[in-house]
Amino acid sequence: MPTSLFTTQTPSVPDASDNGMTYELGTKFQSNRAGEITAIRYWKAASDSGTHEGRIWAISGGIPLATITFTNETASGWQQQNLTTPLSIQANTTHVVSVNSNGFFPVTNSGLAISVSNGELSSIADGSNGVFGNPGVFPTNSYQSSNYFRDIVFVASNSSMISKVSGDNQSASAGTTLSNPFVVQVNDSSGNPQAGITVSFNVTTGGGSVSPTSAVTNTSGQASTVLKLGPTTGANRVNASAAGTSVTFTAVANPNAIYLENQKQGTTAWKITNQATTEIAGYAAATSVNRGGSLPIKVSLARTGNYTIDIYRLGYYGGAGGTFITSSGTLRGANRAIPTPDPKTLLIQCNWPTSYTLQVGANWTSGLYIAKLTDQRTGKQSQVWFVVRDDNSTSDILFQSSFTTFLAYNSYGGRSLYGFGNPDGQRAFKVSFDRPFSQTTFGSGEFNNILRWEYNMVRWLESQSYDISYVTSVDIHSNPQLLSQHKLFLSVGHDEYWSLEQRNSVEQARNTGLNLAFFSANTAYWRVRFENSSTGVANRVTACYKDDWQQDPAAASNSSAATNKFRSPQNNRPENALLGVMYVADKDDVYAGYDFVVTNSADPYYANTGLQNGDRLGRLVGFEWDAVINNGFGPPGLVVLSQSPFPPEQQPPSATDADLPVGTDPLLSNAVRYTAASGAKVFATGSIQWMWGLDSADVPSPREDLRAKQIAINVFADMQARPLTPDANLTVP
Amino acid sequence: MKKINRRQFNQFVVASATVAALGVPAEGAFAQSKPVFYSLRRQPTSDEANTELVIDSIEIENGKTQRRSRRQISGNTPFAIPRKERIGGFTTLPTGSLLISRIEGIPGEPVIISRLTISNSSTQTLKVTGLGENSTIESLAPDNGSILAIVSLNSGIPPFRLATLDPTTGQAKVIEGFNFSATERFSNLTQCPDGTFYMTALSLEGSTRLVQLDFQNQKIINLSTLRFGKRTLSSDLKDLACSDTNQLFALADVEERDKNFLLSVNNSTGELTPIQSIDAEKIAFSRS
Repeated sequence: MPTSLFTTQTPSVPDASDNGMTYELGTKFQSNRAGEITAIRYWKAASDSGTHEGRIWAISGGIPLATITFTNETASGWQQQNLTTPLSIQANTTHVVSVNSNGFFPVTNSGLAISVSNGELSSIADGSNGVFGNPGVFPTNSYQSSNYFRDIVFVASNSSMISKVSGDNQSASAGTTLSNPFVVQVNDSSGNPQAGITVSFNVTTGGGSVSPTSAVTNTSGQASTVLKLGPTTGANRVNASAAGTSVTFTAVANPNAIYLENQKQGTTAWKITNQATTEIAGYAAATSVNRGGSLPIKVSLARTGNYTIDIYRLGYYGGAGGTFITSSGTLRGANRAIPTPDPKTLLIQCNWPTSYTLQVGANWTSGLYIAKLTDQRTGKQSQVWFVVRDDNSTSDILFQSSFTTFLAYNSYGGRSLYGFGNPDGQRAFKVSFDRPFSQTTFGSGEFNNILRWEYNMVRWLESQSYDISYVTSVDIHSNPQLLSQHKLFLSVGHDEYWSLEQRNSVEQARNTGLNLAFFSANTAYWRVRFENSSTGVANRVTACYKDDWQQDPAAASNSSAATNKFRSPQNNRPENALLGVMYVADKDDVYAGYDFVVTNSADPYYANTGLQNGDRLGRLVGFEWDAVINNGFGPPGLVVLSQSPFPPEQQPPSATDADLPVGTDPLLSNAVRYTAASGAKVFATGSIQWMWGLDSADVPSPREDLRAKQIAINVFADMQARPLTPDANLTVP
Repeated sequence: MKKINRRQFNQFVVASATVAALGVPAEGAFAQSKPVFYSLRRQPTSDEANTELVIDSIEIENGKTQRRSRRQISGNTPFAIPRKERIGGFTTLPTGSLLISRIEGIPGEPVIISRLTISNSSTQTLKVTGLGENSTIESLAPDNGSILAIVSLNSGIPPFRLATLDPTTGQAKVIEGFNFSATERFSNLTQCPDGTFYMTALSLEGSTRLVQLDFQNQKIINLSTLRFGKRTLSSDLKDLACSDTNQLFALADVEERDKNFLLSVNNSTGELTPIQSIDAEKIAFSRS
């Protein structure tokens, strides 16, 4: 059915003149369906005599796409002249229709200030419509959005028509996926559903993403997609088009859960101010719990008495670093025995009874949590660490807390995977999560404390309102599906112990496009095997026989099962195949460190930092560091971002790895990046403490550096994670 | 250095956990033409809560050991200590006495007690005093009439300090100024007849090292990383002792957990050469 833009509108001044000047007068318009322009129309002023030519222009001007001369005009009012050949136009493409005037013209000031619509057609309300210029020339000038009544006759293609069914006008947190899909209906011109029509979905506003980007209509003529909102708040729009027609969906992105969570009142009460040695200690029955779940906590007191459990979440919270969640109230506790170690493996499993079951709210925000234990008799305090997961989260960042490494160094009961931390110097072959972390009681835990590096990374990420959810290394082992729900996997601090399953899952995720950011070092150095507890609970024990792997019954007849270094001949999976770098040395002075020295400063990861080759970021390398190793396993296309030499004036490193290729310089640290064949981006700092350049809270010698923050912004943006509230002096690519 | 009267070996008898002196059964003196050392072990008793201390007197000849004498530590009266107690240090004194440090409690338990059991003509057990509540005596070596000890300030784990110890009173005193790295384990202190003190050090990611004490400069000197075959040791030695000829011997379970070997130590290369397996928890050499 032929359609024109103007229907009942009439000019407020039907016979206007600009001192008799002649003009080319026009209207910018679009159709939301493809079709043909069959004629040009214009309103003729009563005094406007002479010849009139009508023209159709592309919005870019140039030669007219169509030109006709009006014949058989009447004295005034609407005139219409068919084109010699109808002009085909695409949907949603702006054109200009113009007709010259010979001294007089109709006009309605502000007549096109808002869009005029009729059927498929609409005028463009861009503040500069209608348009005027010299006769015969593409008109580009505009005055008060005046309507000069230039119009077309349009016939839409006799094909499909798309319309919205459901999903429009939703709202959700920025960066999250809308709960309902956008559903469109495609009918033919008679209103019958059309199956098999390809519908394309394109994000036009907001920076989000849709999945799928195209879909074929079903037998009901419907197709749908799901929008993941962009990282910033505001409107998101998605255009759905098929067979020359289109519709636009709108959704609103609200602040993400991390932003909202960090608006809560902050507190430092989560910190231990009077650390217990033996007075009180406890552990959780799992390293993590999903939102809405429950978590048993086991507590032992040196003497029978009262105690409390207070739950806190770690974050930024205005700089306080934590917020109070809930409290157990006063509980009664007693002393629980530490069992005798297994004689062969020195495994200790406490298996204490449950003291308190924490009910985790379904609305708790995923994060690192602390259950602070306080013995009321002595006032002594210790902590239980755990993670609250959100297994449905599709957050940009999946933050892995390195519980397997915390466990390896846990010498509660006198047994860890290290001789240096055990009373008789003999290391255990197996360790259990069913023990308190010695790091929260008699041990300082500086090498492997959730508060040493992960805390600082959490503070900075949440201060910038990145979209994050949290898991533990055990979760990556047991439920690698979690990796597929996010844009990037983040390893932080000291992430030394990995299971083979964990290593395989992360590598496979990289190979299917998951970005990996290692703000860590010594990562995936030892291979562990998870085993059931003595009570049959999965993944509560890790075995790591190290150089004594031949004493491991599981590996005695199958050397490929050896729980030793990933770089060992038995495993032959050097870490640099994953990270691009691998551990070379350490200096066991946690807060010392040496300078990060820039190389390849033209790399995009150094954008907006002002850094040049040889520039230094103070003391961001340590206490363990990684380097590029020439062993044939490094990924192709590796870009070296730092060449940081260990200062010769310092005492030599505490240890260097004994299995490095001949010629390796352990006194050099490298940060690197590479792009995997899948397109996944991989970045590694080559240093455990690099994030202290982002946040130095509770670090005795602070070393925050704006340039380090800009690097991190660049890295994450390249991995499709952008902050909601970036610092004003940072540039988000 | 004060030499041990050989006849005093007959008197290496350690008595009960009380401070009461016990009679010492006499035994014929060993002919001490070869280096002799003593190995301390524990054997089960009918009481599951306790173990019995046993000392073997062993001769090393042509790279092999030969047991010279085995006896209950208190002669006819078995000397029992709780099974959960740990032996920290074991050494011989110039007086001929044996000295054993015993530790009750493990990291995480509310009570940590460090005791000394001393035996010469009589036997005493003393509670160590002068240290912090979680301090333990981890290693012992005679030093000009006194005892030099490695002390843990934290229930057997780092940090460690050097201390002097009066074996007659149990009074200990940390030596100020000689600070060890707070992130390393130090243990197995022993002194050679040439006056050199050796011990082992074990760091976070490192392997067990043989180190020497430099008293003049109050520091340690790294000598070598200990190796058994191609392997370095990620667990510490069980003990280290020095012979009359300044040869270091190590006790370690280098092949299988709790199957201990006596090994000779090459100080400069760190190479450990097995002599033979030995049922022992600690070792100490006699002095001539």
